Amino acid sequence: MELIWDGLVKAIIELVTLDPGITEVALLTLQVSGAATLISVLIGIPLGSVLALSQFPGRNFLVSISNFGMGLPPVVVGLWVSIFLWRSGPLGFLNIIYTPYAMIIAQAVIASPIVISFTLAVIQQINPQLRLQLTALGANRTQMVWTLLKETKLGLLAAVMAGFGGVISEVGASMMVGGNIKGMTRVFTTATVMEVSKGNFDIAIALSILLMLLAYSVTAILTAIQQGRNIR
Amino acid sequence: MSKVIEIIDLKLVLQGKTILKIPYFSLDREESICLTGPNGAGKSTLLSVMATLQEPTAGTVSLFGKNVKDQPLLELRRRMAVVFQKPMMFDLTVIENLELGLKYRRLKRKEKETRIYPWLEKMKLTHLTKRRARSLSGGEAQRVALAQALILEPEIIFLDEPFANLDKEMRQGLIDEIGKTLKAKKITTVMVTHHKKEAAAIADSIYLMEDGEIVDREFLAFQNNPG
Repeated sequence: MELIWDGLVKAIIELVTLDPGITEVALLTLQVSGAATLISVLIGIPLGSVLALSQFPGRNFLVSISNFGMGLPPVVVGLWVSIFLWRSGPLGFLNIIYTPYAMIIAQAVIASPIVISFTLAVIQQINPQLRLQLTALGANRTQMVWTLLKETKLGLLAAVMAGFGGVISEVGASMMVGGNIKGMTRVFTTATVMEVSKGNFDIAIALSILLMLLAYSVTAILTAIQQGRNIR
Repeated sequence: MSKVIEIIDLKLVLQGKTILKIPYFSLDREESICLTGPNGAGKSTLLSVMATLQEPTAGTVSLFGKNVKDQPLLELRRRMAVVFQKPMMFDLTVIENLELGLKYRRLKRKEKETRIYPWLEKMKLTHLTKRRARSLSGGEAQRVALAQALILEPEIIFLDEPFANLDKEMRQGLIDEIGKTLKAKKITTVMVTHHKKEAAAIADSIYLMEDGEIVDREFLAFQNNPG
């Protein structure tokens, strides 16, 4: 109990005093996971919409791959992104291994299938009569997809939250491609793992509390947007 | 008069069952007809085929003098309007729902307003413009759906039991109003209905359907044009 209490106190102190080390980690965590979520949204919503609204050979296979991807182990993603970005790897010339860019790529790979599958499910749940109504109203394909996406705003925000939740909490991929370098690639999850391995449980508890606070704050904002428009 | 709809040897088979079998059917420009018959006779399905919302298994459907397969469907659909039996409202305000079809046609704001506002009054929707369309009653939603179709100023309108959700008083007023508008604007009309009174106000003739076939035709022209 004392350990937990110490961790709590440390978390509060670091939060109140805006500890520079912690602030840096928090900002990088937000930047990396935020950018990765944004990329996954830019990839996931169009792809999920295409999968939901089209019929073509191999579509079911792609849907199953996307659904499988939702459970992709972060360490596997970390391994493959490392192989690609390694100096001798196919994308080694980019020279971004052990940088936040590599972490963003890895996290985007983790979040994209989540956003694709959520988008697909949300659009497929739309009453088919609404699509018929849009066709009858003379909507072209782009107009139809745009109207349907607006119709599913609630579900799409849930997709964004799920994608963000998936990446802000992962540690394996960030550790492998980022390397947990202080001041460069250290984020909350990798810092927590490091402190536990050093036996500094109180610091690890403080970091975990701050991570949860950060994740909750972002989710709370998205929830407010989602529910705010729902009660209009 | 030129034919705006012409159907030859139409057959629609769904899951092994023949839903429609129409050897020949045609409709002249400005003509108004009603499809009637028992439930499951294929009235709404025939309407969907004519509105290019359902592809037939065999046969030819021509609109405005040309096979629909030889015309861009989007352009065709923008010359027509459909009112479904169950009005489908988007999660938008009433006015935003009304604007949808005009927005897709890229009409300017001024023109959108010119088209929408007269119908808000005719359909008694003025006080509802800012309401979320999903919160409307069945009758209100049906009036929005009717206005949504009529403001498109289509050349052909397809109405699938459009007055079914309206209460008796509202229904009679609207039937007369819409009947007059369709005639005045010379809009070719195909309406599905079970009510002879509705048919008499809108149509020149009634087609009776049974088991996917047109089995009889009754002319109402005399009643509509007594002079």
